[in-house]
Amino acid sequence: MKSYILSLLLSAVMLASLFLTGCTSGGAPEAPANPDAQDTQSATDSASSTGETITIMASQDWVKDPEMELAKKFTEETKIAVDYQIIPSDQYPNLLMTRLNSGECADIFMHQSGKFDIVSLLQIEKNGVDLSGEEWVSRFEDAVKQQVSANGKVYGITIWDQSDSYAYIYNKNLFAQYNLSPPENYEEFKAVCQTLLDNGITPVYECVASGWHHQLNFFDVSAAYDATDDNLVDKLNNNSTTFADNEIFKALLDQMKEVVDAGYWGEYYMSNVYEDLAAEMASGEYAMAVNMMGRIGDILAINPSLGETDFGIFPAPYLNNQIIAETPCGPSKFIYSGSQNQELAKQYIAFLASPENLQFMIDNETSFNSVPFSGLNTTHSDEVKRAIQAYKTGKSTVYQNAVIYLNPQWMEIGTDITSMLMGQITSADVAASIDQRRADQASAAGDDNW
Amino acid sequence: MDKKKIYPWYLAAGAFAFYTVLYLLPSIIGIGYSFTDWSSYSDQVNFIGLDNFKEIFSADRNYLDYIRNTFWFTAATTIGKTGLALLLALLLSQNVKGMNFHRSVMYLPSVLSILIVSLVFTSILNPKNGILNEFFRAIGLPFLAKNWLTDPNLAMWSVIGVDVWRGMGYIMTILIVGILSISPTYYEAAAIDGVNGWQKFRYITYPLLKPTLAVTIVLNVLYGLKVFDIVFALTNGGPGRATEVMYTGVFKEFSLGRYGVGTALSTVMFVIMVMTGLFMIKILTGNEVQEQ
Amino acid sequence: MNIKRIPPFVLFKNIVAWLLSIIMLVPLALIVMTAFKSGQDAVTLSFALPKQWDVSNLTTVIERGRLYRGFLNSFLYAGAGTVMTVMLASMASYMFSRRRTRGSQILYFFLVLGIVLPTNYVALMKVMQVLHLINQRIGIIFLYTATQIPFMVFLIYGFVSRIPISLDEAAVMDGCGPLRLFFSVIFPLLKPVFISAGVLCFLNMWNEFILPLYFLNATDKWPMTLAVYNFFGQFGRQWNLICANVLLTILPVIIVYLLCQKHIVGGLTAGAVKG
Repeated sequence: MKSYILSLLLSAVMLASLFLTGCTSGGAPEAPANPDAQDTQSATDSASSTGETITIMASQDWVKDPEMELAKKFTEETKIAVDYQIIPSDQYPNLLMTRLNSGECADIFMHQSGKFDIVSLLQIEKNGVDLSGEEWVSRFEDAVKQQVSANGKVYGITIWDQSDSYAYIYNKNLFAQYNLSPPENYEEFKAVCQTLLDNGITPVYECVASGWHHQLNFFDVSAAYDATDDNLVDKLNNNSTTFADNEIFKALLDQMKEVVDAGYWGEYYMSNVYEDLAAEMASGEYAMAVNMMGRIGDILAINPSLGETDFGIFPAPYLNNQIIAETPCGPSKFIYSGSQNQELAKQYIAFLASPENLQFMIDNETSFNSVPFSGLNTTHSDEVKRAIQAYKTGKSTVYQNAVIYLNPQWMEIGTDITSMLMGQITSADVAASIDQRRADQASAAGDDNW
Repeated sequence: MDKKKIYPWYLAAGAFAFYTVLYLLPSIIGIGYSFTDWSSYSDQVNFIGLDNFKEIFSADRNYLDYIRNTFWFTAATTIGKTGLALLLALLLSQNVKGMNFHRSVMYLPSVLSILIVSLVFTSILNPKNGILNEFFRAIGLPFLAKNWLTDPNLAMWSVIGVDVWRGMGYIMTILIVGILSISPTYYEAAAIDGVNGWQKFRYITYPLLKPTLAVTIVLNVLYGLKVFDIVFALTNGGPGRATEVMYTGVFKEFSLGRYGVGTALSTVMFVIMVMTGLFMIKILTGNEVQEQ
Repeated sequence: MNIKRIPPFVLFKNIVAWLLSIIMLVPLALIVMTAFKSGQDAVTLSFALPKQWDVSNLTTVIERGRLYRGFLNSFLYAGAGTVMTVMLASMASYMFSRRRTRGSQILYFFLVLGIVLPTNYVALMKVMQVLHLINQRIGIIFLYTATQIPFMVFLIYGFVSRIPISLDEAAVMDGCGPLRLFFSVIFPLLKPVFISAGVLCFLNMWNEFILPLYFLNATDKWPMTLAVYNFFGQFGRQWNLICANVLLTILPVIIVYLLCQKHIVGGLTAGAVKG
């Protein structure tokens, strides 16, 4: 009997579906696809709207809760609905490319900024809309603006905390307990690690299983790379030198391996995940971790007995580095050139970029202490302010943003480094694979320098 | 009788139309792309002949390792699932209380999506605080507590283990259906002749179960060759490239924007699967006769 | 009951059955327990019982994940897709299994080939555009149908060929046309097969999340499976919410499976014995 009921149910569902969709397709058989016709029918949430909807595509985690609140406010004020499509991060790059390729993209799409990637990967001059004439462009910080611009035209907006670079966060109490001070060079770093290890504390929390984190060690000492040759970035970009040609890259990788082999990343670094970083740091089992400076708050949130003064910041000490490099890139919004709603999309972006709403983002999103626009109040903690003063020179930019064809292979570089840490390949092999993949991308892009 | 009249072509027309337009056609266009330099870096798509395939089969790339890993995964999961499922099906097809309950429960893992399975298992197999290692430590066998998913020598076996866990119940259900559909009269006759359990299996169950077994083996092999999500979600091909299979390789080429090479890889895989599939169907079902 | 009267082998069987069932149930138990934990208890997935059973997780995910709408979408896509797939696939397999001519065999292989065909999303996108099926609910249903047909034809084919041809002959003698023959004679006999194939098809469609991502450009058409990503941050995971969401997402399929479970095995046996 149950099966009859079930099949009856299913048939009913099927009929209903045919009826639902039949209405629109039957009513306008000749008309080109009219996606709005169905939207109004089903979008009960936005029944109050005028039927206009802006769609936004973003990878998971790129859209913070306060932004969703602002979107609600926007809908209330303008009666224009905003539909955020949050896509699993591992699917996002392929999905976005497919959508752009076939002309089916959302009105606004998000992507990491980067002056090279937006041209070579996104083909922003074809797929994007020139926003240079917008009011907010004049308030937009120059270094960050550069990374969403092509040929002098601004195509995107980055509402993300750029001051918040990755650096070493350390537990001041543990350091004090064993009379340690923040290392100022590689030898001191090793000595600090050894002391901690001897006392049963794992020196560094590193999380290889997340796949995207451990290669930060490679990218974030860019200032040390630049110190070997002022023009290294330019030479890498015009292919007059390679990663394999420069001993400095291999030196860094070898130091990483030395640290891991000495046990300074502990026993479980391969299966650790980034999501547990704050909890493990709060537990006191680990003394240091690479993280964004502004995220000390995450650790404090887990253990309320900890205070802001319990954690400090120092730059990645490999290659005796003492500088925190600039990170002018972040998830940015671009308007799709094939969108029917370009003016509405501009209106929404202008709304988000108003000083009042930018300040709302800073004040309400814990991970944002500043955004790259002038005339706003920042909320950096004292330690972050000190670190910015002490370690940021503004000269070097992290390599994933400074060197072409590097950022798209971020995950692959992580895989290679993992293989190296397991002893399956050498640091020279890692450098050679980086060059190989850069050459592959360059040849796909028809780059004359390769 | 005129078969053409009783069984007209139009019975298959619907299935055929949907399949051809929405599945076959795009896939064939896709295969066409594997002979081009199609990439996200350029609007131009140029015909480049077999260059992508030359790259795949050149020794200095990792692709041949991916193919090897894929075959390894396929062989191990097929043997594991079919063997265990057959044992269980024989064991559980009679004389067990709450049989329906057990069957439902064992089928359950295949109901769960891979995302959920991988979430739960990365947690269970965590070397530090996963329940598997805690269990081994608790029963006094701490040397059995391993880095299940991050030791390059173990990772593939762990993935295979999880996949067998997930797929075994489904195969078992198919086999139980097969065993139960064998007419009891055979066994009654055998009982009169006084044959033992092994002979019953060897001369009654096995021959009559063979077509069902063949179907499950073909399904398992094709599934294994096509595997993507469980590897992707559990290890993402790692540690290093220890568990990289063909379709995770394809996915990574696409992520790098190299669509031409990516589609070429999937074309290679397609050819391998068609050959294996046809070969196996011929071998396994060659002597099957239509029951009249 | 006196335990001594149970033969040792039967006892052994029962123990093995229970042991395996427990192993199979472990992950589900983990999900259920975590779904009712408070945020602080659920920093990692563990087997500790919730300190207090917190039902608010379920209401939170229903609201934030907009699960009602997701559920209706999922049910529509998987339900309608399953009905279409099973109907079309069984008619096709019936034809293939009965004719057994060279032509029909080639066609059968050609269809079954689809099990191993690689999907190319860009090409598929182009085809969907031409047919005006993008961003349409019916488009996703058609797409699900197309992708499941090869496997379903393969699965049903084996069962259909077991139905004695003498039945067809008798029906034709009575003057049945092809469609009446199929629907009034063969169809009822295939009921158990429909249910077992249908359940499988329904499960596959229910768990699918890639196709809707690509071909539905509006969140109010998205199925339930995509909601879980609302709770997966790169920065910290809310395991209690994830598990609550997972629980609500798998509940419908488990119910569907349990409803049909008896027919899958029981129905087939009955048919075989009578036949």
